[in-house]
Amino acid sequence: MQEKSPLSRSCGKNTSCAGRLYAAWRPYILVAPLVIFMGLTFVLALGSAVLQSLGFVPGAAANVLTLRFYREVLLESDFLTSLSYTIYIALVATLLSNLLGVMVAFVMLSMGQRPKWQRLLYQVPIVIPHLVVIVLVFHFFSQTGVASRLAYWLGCITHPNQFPLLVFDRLGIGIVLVYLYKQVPFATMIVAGTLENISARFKEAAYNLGAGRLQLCTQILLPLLGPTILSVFLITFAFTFGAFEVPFLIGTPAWNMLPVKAFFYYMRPDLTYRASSMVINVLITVISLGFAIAYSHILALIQRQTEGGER
Amino acid sequence: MKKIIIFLAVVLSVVLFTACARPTATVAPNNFADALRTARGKTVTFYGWGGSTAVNSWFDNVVAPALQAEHGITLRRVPMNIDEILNKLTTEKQANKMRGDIDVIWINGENFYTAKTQGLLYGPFASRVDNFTRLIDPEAPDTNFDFGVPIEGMSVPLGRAQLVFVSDTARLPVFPASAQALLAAARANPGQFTYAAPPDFTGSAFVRNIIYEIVGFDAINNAPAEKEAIYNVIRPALDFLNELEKYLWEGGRTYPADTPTLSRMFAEGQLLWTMSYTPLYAARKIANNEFPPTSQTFLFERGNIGNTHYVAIPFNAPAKDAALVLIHQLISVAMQAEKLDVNNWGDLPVLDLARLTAEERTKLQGVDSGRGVLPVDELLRRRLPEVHARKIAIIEELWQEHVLRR
Repeated sequence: MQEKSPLSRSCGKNTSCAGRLYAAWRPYILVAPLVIFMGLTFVLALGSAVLQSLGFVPGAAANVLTLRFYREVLLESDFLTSLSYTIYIALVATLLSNLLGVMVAFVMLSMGQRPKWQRLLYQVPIVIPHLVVIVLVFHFFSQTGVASRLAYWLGCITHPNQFPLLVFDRLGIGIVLVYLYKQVPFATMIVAGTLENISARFKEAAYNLGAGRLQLCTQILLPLLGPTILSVFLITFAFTFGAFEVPFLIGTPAWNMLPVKAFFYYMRPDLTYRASSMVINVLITVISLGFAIAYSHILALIQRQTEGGER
Repeated sequence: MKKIIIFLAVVLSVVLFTACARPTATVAPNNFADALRTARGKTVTFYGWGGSTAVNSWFDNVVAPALQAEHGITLRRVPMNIDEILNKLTTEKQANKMRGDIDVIWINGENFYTAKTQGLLYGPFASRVDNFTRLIDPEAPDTNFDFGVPIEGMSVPLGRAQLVFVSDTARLPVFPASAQALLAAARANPGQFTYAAPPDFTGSAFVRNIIYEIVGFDAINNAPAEKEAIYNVIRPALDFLNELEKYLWEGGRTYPADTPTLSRMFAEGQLLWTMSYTPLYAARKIANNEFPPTSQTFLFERGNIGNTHYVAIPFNAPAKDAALVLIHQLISVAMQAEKLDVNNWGDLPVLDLARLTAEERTKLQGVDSGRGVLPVDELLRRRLPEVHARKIAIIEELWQEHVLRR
């Protein structure tokens, strides 16, 4: 390593050598704590998950590496249902939150100078934990919640069971509502930030060249926002795909999202099911990783396109 | 890829197995008198489910002071779900940690089966507990089998639970006393009956109770613990549950995820019934004003499933002598009577009434069991045994495949 570094070869005197060595290694030293932490917590944990998914579960009956558990989990009758249900919830929550987030960001842009309280409006939901939002959604939208009581008071229903099931339902409406509350402000914040930075430069040029408001939006702003929207999409999708507590607490028992399914496997008293649980965790990781790779590729593609357009 | 896996395997095994020294587990005294002597002044740590304030209060405000006053032992109670406790013990077993920090655990059923077969328990120890040999019937089925699993002195009964149904006489004057009557009641009141989806503990017991009603206990008890065989036996019961499903809440498209949710729905007037594995549950809920005062407990005519819950000692308990004394204390007449009191916990006693002195019997029978509940002798008379622990998970799986996700 040291021979390859131009700095270490050129240092002649002892005093400056140490300083230059430090300068050369400084970035590595600075990231070392993070790398060690990630290495211990993430890589080791992931490695142990992979090992357990291959049947290496200390304490359980057999300790031979095998793909048996992958086969069993993948062939189980409701695995595909769980997978598609997970994709469905993640996709609906993500698409809706991104769409609404972009719309809100544009509305805010068109309003020009914004008072501080408006910013608070989307900053507050971001810091509220998911658990609190779950309780809010439950108290508002369950069959005996505030909305149902209001409907009863207005005479729309005569029994709580007549109120449509919005929490614990098969369509996952309650789950999606929680994610919307959390993710629309997130999307808004990121998109609005990008919008603020680009609009000043391009807006006047576009108007000078005779563009209308609609043209400004569709021809200039949206294409420029592409990478931002895509990254927001992938972050929120990956999160929703792997998150546990929301579907666990207000999902239907009929269909389990993958993280919930992994949890139920893990909690079975029979320890061999830990392997099945880890199989699902590994699959979730692989799918999320796939999304990260797709993201970087698409991003590179877009960057190449925009650079080509400028030339 | 293979290299990476091998590398990780090596790293993991180094971390897990070589880093720790190998101390030996503490030993317990051979007789109860010695345990009493050496345990004095120690702290005994109890790990168990902590989700009920009534149960917690019995441990903290009844057992702990008595244990301190009579035997000079301090009780430390740590609330933790049994599956997490077993996870912890499994990890400690893997790491060869021979001095843990749990002295007594609260356990039964599938979890006892797992703990016993995985070698997570210390024992046999029951014969070294004075009150066990003096007050408990050695011939009683639940002294020898926990959910069909032979106990062999590895745990001691602490209390008895039973599945009960609770309804409101003001809204449902005639209680359904059989599966067929339940179907009729659900048909007459569509959307106002349901049960918690297994693997919820109580919902799972309800499904087994329906199986007993439709195909009988012997049929399921004699079936081998294999999925195919059990499916063939319980098929008529699953068909019945599918027939019932049409008239359940939300048409059975979804089920409440747990029994607290079921009870909340009953309390808020959505449902005509709820159920509990705690037989005096209704009394407590009426006393809290959560359930209407007209609520009443009932059973099926042919009986409801009951089980017994136990205490056991982990293999690496640091104070096994104090653990023996705590268990002795838990099954004393005084503690069992306080436990039966609905103002404390309302859990059925495990003592053999025939072995008690007249004075002790009076003490146990004079306990306040509250409103809306059934007398203890009726509960014990209409009590059906549990099936083998291994069959429960299979039944739950079959229910999910053939009823929930049909």
